[in-house]
Amino acid sequence: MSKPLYERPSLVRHQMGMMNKFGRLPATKPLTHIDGVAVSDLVAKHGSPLFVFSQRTLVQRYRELYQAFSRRYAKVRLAWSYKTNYVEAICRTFHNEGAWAEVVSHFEYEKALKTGVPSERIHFNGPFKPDDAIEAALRGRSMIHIDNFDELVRIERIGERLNLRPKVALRVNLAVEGLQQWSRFGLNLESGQAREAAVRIVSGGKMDLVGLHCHIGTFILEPSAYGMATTKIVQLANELRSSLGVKLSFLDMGGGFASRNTLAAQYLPGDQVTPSFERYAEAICDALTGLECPPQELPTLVLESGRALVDEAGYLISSVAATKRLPDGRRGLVLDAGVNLLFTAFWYKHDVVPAQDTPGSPEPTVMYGPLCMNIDVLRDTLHFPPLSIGERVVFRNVGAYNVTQWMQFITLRPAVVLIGTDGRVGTIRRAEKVEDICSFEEIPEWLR
Amino acid sequence: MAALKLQQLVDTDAARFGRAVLRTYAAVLFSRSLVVGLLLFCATAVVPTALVGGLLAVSLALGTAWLLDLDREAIQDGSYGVSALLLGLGISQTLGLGKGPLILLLGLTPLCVLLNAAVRSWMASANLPALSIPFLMAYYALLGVMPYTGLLPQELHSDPWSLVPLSIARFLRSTGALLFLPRSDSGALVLVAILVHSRIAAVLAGLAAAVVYLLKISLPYIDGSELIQVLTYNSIFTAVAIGGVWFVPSPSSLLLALLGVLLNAVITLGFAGPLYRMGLPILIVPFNATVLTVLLATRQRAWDRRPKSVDFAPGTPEQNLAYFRTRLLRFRWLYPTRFRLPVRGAWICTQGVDGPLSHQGRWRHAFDFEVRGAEGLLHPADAMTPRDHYCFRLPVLATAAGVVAKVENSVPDNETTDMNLEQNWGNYVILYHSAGLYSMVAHLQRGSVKVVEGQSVRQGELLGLCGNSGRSARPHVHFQLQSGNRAGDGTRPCKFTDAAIQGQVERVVADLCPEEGQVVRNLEHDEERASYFAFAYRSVWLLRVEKDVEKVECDIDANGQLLMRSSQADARLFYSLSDGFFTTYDSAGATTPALQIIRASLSRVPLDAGTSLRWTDFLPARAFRNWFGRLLSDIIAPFLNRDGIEMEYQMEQSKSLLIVSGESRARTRQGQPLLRTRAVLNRGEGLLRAQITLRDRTWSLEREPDRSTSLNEPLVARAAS
Repeated sequence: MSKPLYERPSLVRHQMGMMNKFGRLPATKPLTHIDGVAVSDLVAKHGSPLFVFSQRTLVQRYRELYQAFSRRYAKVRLAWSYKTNYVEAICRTFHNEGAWAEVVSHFEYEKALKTGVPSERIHFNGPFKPDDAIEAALRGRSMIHIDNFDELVRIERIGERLNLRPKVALRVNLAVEGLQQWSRFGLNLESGQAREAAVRIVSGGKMDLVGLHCHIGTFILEPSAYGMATTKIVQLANELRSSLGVKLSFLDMGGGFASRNTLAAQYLPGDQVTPSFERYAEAICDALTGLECPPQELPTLVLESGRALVDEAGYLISSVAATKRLPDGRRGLVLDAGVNLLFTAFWYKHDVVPAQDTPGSPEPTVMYGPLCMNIDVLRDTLHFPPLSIGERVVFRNVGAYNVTQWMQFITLRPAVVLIGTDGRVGTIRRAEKVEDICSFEEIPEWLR
Repeated sequence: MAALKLQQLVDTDAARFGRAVLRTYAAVLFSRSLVVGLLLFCATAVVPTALVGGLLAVSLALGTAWLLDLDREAIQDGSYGVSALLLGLGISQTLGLGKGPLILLLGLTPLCVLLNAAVRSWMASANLPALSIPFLMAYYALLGVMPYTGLLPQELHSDPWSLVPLSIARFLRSTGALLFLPRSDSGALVLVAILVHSRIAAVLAGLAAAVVYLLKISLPYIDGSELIQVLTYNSIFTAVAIGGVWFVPSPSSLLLALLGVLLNAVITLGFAGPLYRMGLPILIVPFNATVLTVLLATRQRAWDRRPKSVDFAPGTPEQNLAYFRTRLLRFRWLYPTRFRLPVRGAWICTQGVDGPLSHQGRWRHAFDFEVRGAEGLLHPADAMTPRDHYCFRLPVLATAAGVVAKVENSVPDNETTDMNLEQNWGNYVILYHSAGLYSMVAHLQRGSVKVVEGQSVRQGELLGLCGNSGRSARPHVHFQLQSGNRAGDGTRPCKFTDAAIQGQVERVVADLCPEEGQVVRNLEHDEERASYFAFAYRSVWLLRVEKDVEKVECDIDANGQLLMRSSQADARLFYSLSDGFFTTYDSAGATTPALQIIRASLSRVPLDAGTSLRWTDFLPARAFRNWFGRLLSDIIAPFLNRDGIEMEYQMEQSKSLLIVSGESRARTRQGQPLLRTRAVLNRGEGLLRAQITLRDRTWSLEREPDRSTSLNEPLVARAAS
């Protein structure tokens, strides 16, 4: 009989989820408390799944952003982007800190008014503004950001009819090296459209051009892109001042600052690559030094960052409803929260951790939601401790876009609570009931 | 509505004319008070020719000034009529009121107005008052013309009144002689008018009289009661003018007034004879000469302090004093140049005056600033190098306008905590502000300095970026005021104007000297806040106080000053919208309840977007005293150190309303604030409501809606004409 060949033993470290030898392991340190409040207590009181917001983080992020800019430029204003999260308690937190409101629809405009924002402190933005929305904004003396020529003419006409002088800004889109141009919003700079619109506004003589607005994109990880965009906007502002005598009261550099989330296609994790507010501020404010006007006439720098302010303050607590072993050996978790609640799961590799100490070695895991739909995957394959039924996980950095884009699909939407700066917990949106959904419905006569 | 009717009555042209006439009489005593005017009018009314002559001259002068379209404000003040009034009295008393003198009066009065306007223009360019120079010119011209008319001067009226002892009668006659009426009764009325006008003035007048009396007994060869008369009224006027009108009343102004009285006596005694030989009576020449001499002489002082000249619209000595007192308390600046913090946004002061690290000895008046993050650290928790400090590469600004005196830009930034002791200051910029006053920012980043030597910079202009060069253990901004242009020259005390200290609330400090650990920032002008105070030019507010409705017009005067004008009593409340503040000043002329409520409730408001700002300001205490307290304080006030009500204000935004509320630091016995104020403003519409509560009494001001535009029209139309 032949002797089997000797095979030298080797130890191969079997590890998933590590990027390379410089990267670090995905964190699975459990998060048992949010702002000092136990996750288990929150669930016991408010149920699972549950959205939790930290007011402390909201305030802290707001102040960080404001101070980073106000130390570099004299006049800075933050306008809270309602589409990112318009739950009233969240909005109030920002407005109490001095934020104005940025809305992109008639609904959001009314929501902001209902929240108590003075109408003069609202920037009305967006590509769709029906006549009644424009009329409301004009009556409230809000700032209207013009998206296209049709809108320009409509605002002018409505202003004339109401005998009001609209305060308008031009939304400008421009090319920034290395970024895909968002040409669908606003008027193009390079083609001369934006200048043409400014000339039209001034020569029309019926509206006041008070601002320029530029929003280069979303989740921009490269601060220098803002520097380039600001330089172009500053050039345009200087040109308008010298050729048309337009004294702008604000320059709106939009938002799009990245949060600490990790995009689905992103290589390095968000908390390593997301630039600090300081770096965005330096890029924008350096470019603003090119403004040619006396100090007392410097326009206010407006920022309407949404995601970077609110994302980190939001948490989603979810419970394991079932566990299973997939045929390829991976472990599957069925959670009680799915893409119906966590819409952003389509964009990000969400940062998710267990809410309790879990013994056992981590293994490749897929997280599914409760929906009877194949798309309902919250995290595809990550290294995760072996959770059992009833145990809980916490998704971090979910404050932006989820509680506005979530949907009532297959299940009802859960409660949202806020942990105050003093540690008190309050419900800011109660869980939906069947009656809520049924209350929209009506039965035609012939079915009664 | 009845109040409105009364209001309209007060607004008629006849009523305005009457007021202007009385003010013209009052202007003889530098007053705007109608009561003073009435008393002086009565003083002339004791002799019918004086009554007719004076009234005729004033009416003619006002009419002429109106036809010439001269300054509306000055016509109402009586400034154009006062020399004509004296001329009218002079003609009627020296020549009677026959046909000839009447023609002279009719001819000379309009010329007197022209002269008055010309002298005012000419003197104003040198920032001097016209005083009674136009009258003197006109009167001397009259004396020259007289021989050709065949008119002969007659004796002045003798005093029919012999009830009082002769010495008092003589004194009274001499005050009456000012109005060409050397009679005890007119003199007594003039004295009463002085007392009503101002108690301080009365004290000054008494002192002047005493000096004249001393002169009289020490110079036995002074003869002729006429010379003593001239000496007396010139002295009285000189003392009042110097001691209270053109200088803020104080012990030093009193001394200066006494000096003026002596100078006045020398001029009177020295020139009365020669002038008389030329056929000219000396009249009120010494007063004019003395006041102008003193005003011009005091311009040679480097520091306008003791006594302080009145560099604002002069009022009664009491008003001058109260205004200056509160101004001192309200705007405390060490130097004429005002400095702002050298950085933008909130910074923490890590070393202040006499700081233990390096701010010692000659360099004690210096400040270090750094940035502290939310977690309380000066850098992120995972910082590796000094470059990671929050303040690194942040802009450093010019604290005040100046010229770049010296720049260093090549010292490398320390990459570790090792300090560069060779080049102590690292990269720096020194600015020249005024003689002996330089400012320096130091430890800037290498290559970051944006200015060159010799360049002039504006306040707030970018000088460079915060760095870690020189003797700097970690990035920070070092700021100091110094006496020379070299790095390391001795420091001078520094206070920053109108900065905020952050804490639970933000406290605005008029003169900030940052202390270690304080988080401070500059106030920034916020367009939106400011829009609440952008009262439309010539907008008219109907303000109801109790039962009366007052019409207040927002206006701009010929000097570009913003003011609110009440139609009720020609009262004006000046305010400004600059330096990041809305500030009201003391009302000029009379005051009205509405203006007083506005003055107290909107004393000073920062136009900054901060949501929790608190600030203090001082209100003149005099306006809040009862008549007795006022009388008492008027006499002792010049010798007191401070006299103002310290108020603490705050504001809150409620939807589209801005609410400014304040309460005094001083408390009543029950522990309630002595004075509470509250004002509600609406954007674009201005003041809606205001109220002040003094002890238990509340005065409320409510804006009446403009029911009909026609109500506003007369005022606006008048303004346009």
